[in-house]
Amino acid sequence: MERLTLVGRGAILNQMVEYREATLDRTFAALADPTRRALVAKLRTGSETISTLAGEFPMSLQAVIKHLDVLNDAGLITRKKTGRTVACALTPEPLERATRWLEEQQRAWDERLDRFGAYLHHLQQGVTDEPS
Amino acid sequence: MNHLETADDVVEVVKTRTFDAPLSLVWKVWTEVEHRNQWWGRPGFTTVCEHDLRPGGKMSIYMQGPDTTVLISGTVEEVIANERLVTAGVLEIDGVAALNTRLDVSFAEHAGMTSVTVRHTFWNFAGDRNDMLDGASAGWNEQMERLEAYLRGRDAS
Repeated sequence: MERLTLVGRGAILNQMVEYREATLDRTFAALADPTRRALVAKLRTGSETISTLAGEFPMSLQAVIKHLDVLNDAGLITRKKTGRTVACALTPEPLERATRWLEEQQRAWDERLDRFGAYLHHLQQGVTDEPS
Repeated sequence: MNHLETADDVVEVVKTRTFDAPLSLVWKVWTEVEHRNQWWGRPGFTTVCEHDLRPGGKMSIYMQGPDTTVLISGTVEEVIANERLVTAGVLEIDGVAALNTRLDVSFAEHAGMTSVTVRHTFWNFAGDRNDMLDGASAGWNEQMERLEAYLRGRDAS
């Protein structure tokens, strides 16, 4: 019983570590490469084996595996071994988080530039309309 | 703050907007803090900007909201009057360093109109500040497409 409990706690801790390490920095760094983005795009339709993925890129299996390692370390994909084949699947959370963050920054600038424009306009009106 | 050191830039937001105002006025309103404090901060936030407008001069932007405080502190990296202003610093949320930020703003006048291009770069995201990322979540595929399009744009530039 005790051993089972310890194994269980270890698994939970592992998940927490993986979750914490999947920060924005890692997500963006992992996606800052066209091959890795293409790999992520391929996996959107469902999990694929490494050999299938490798067959679709004009590079060695070793090179594709290196890119998959980066995606795996960033928490963007998971790998599951079944017999002699390894299947890769997307983990949506880090991407969703990165997209939300980017959209928030875009929106913040749109709003700030709106306020800047309105303030400019207000100043210009003040110049032409005074005295009030 | 040691974990927020210079690293390769990882992500940026680029916006260009044209205003119906002369360049000299746009520059003045963008750079003079008594004007900037009026428009910079978010609604509901009190904003206090300070900067010593010369290369190496100190800059800070303090934003006090109803339940959060944002402080950006750093230096002015480049200043060319009526043309370009580059600042860089560390952004803290409630006193905890969250990320590095560099803001590169260019100004240009065309026929009495002034365009402003904002290039805002972020890097060194502190992992524990993911609560910054609150927001509504759209469909997964749609989000992925937007992120892809966004990152493709980065390749092209």
